[in-house]
Amino acid sequence: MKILFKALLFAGAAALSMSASSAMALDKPAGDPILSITGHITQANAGDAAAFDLAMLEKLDGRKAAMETPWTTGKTEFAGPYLRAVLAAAGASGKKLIVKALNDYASEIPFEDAEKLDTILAVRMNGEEMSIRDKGPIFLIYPFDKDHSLYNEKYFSRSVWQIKEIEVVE
Amino acid sequence: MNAGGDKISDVLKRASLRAAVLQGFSVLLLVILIFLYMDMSDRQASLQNSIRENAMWAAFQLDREAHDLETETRLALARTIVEPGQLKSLARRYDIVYSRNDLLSQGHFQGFFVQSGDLSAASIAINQIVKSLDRVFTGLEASPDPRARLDGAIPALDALHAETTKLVLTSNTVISDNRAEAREALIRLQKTSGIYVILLTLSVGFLIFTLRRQLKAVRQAGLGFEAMANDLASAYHAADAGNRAKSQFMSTMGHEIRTPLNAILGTAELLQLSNIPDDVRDNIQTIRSSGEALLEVLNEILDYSKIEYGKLEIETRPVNLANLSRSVIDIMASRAKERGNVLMLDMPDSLESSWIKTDPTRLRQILLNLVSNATKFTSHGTVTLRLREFSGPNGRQFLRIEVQDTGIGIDAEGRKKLFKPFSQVDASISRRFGGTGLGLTISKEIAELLGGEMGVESEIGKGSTFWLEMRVEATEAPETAPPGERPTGLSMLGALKVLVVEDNKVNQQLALRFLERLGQKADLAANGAEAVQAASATSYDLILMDMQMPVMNGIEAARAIRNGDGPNKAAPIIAMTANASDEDRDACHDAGMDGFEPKPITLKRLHGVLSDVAERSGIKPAPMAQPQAEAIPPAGDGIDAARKAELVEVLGEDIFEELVASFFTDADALMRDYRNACAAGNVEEADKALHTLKGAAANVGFKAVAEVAQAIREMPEAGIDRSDRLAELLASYTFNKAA
Repeated sequence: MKILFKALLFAGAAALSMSASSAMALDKPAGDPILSITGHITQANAGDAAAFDLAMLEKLDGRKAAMETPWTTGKTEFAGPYLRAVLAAAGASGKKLIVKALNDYASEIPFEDAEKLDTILAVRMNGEEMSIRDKGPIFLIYPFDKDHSLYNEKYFSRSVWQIKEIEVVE
Repeated sequence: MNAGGDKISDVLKRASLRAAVLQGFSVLLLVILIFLYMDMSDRQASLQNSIRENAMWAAFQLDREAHDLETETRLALARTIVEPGQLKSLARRYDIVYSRNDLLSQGHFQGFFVQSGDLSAASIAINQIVKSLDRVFTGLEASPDPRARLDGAIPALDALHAETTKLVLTSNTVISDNRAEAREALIRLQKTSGIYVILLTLSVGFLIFTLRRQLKAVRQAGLGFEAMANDLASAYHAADAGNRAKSQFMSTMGHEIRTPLNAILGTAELLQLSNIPDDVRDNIQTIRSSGEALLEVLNEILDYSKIEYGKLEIETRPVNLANLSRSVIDIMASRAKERGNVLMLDMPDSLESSWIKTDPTRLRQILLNLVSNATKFTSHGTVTLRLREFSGPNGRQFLRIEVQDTGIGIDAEGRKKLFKPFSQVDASISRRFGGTGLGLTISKEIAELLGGEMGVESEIGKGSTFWLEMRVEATEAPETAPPGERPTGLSMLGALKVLVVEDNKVNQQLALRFLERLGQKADLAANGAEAVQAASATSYDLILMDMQMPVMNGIEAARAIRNGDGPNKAAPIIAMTANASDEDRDACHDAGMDGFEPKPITLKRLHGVLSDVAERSGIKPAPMAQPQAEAIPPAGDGIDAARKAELVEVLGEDIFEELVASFFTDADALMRDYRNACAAGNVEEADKALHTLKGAAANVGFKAVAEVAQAIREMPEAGIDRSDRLAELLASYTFNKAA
């Protein structure tokens, strides 16, 4: 019952956000674009891609959480928009996402990781913007703090950092 | 049985050994399980620890980024003009290398990269080079001479690439080593686990096997126990049967001896009354006193066998202690006098009218025994029977009865033996005073059955006090006092002279006992002819006449007496018969008889007849009373309980049993007569036998026998032998009696 209610709520929220975003076209980024969503999207604002600058990303619904990761020492606080919020803003729909890094490292993740998990595109570490040296500008963070069963190699390899682009695949 | 016992003990010994082994194995099993669990949890922990980012991949990525940085730098230098876009790209590449290098020193990788000396050295070198290159790539676009900067960085970039390559190779080696070690550890773990599992399997198998054996042993032991229990039960039954047989034997022998002894004593008494020389009379007195002593011994043995057999029954009735005590004093008076003793009754007046619930027969027996002992061991002294009532705890009423004598006394040693069976104070006592030594044992047993206690206080040379204390329950006086306790009204009228005409031995005894009980003296005639003869010689106040008798029957005898010139021409003649028909009554009247009493005669009706005769000087016909026995239905076993109770009450249980015994003797003879008469076709004789049997049976309360006998008499074709049913009935009583 509770699950069903949650699912309905989620579906409603998703539909609402989608209709909202389709009603208002995605603005062009005012600052330096740091992320582009390509592929199967409806809200392109830079050619075929939806480009986001830091301000646009930080405006979206997101979360801030402290957790341990294999790539940091001690508890580290990450903050950024939910992946599903970013995808919704871009009008993305599909089965999987190809997350690409600055060094052309790429990882395929299922679309549902965005929907069912509170995955965020972290743009701040311990409150600071992330430089490339600090694995910035964008770091895909799984909610290791909420669900310890995620803490394994499968999700480590999906945790891409220095993200520059996400390709949405049908 | 012994073999079975050994077997069981062996089985149990083996079973307990197995149980010990079983316990040992269970402990072992537990230890193995603990070890296995610890191993598993270790493995679990190590698996948990092994969750980490792929170090090899990190090293490889760093190497690749270092290579790309070096290549792109060389490409930029190869161009004549270095473009700003290229510079920016180079700066970003450096940033990526920087971030990759940073990663090596992060928490989860650090552990890996410091584990071998080579790895550690490489990662330190790499870190130094990357940090040194910071000067080159930071602010590269804005620098006045980027080319010079890049040019100067080439050796460092080469060195970096060389180090990262070394890092990859070393990492690979270390990881391979680690993997091999991990595999070995895993195999080791699996091996030990395998061993544990084998041990576990073996242990469980052994447990199952041992448990099976154990169960088998337990079952075997159970069967053994069952067999043993059966053996014991049958041994017990055998022993019990032996004991029963012994008691039965004692009881039978006692009765068998007592019957002729009674005859001897009776004859001796009769002899004493006849006209004989004094010295013979003394001899006869010796016979009598010896016989009485023998009778006492017999009675004690019989009582003891009953007690031992658990057959001594207590019947409680309302009892007046004053009367009971006086009767004891009366009975013992003559014996006390013989030894020059004074017998005293010390009793509070309150006891005169109070009634308690107890067994009068048994209580009297105890008192008689104690007073008898006291007189026996006292000469020219005083024996006091003392009764006291007192309240115990919780307001209960208690009775203390003391029998105090001034006799020889008993020492402490003797007092200990006093209440033990067959023991007397010492052997000289039994020589001097005789006795079985059972009297006190029996008294004590009876006292306990009555819910009391018995004891003795004594001092040598001063005398002894035997006491009995028991709880008593006050009760109402019965409406009509039982005959045994009734003050005999008849004795006030003076003794009557009664002639009993009766052929049957049992009935004779009964009539005599009843009359004796009512304080009367009676003569006996065994048939009509004898009666006529006796009546012609002596004047009687009352003649009790049986109807059917050999030689001359009652009707003929009565007619002869009435028609004769003897002193009894007008004496009351009462017919006693089991025949209650009107014809019989008419015949009685016609013969000149004055009354008619149906058999069996009861004490009450006999009392009525006697008081009628005594009170009225004139001769009136006695009322034609209906048989009272009919009012009381016989019990299910065909025994008239009321009749039996009366007989036991009046005669005492022992005499009643004698009566019953002599009834069976008579019954056997009568049955024989009946069969012979039937065989000979003599209908009259057969009927006579049945008639006599009926009367005798009714007398002792065997109502069913009496009814069956009467029914056979009334059947058509009287000559047919119908003795089977009777014989069966009689046999059932004999059996009951034996049981």
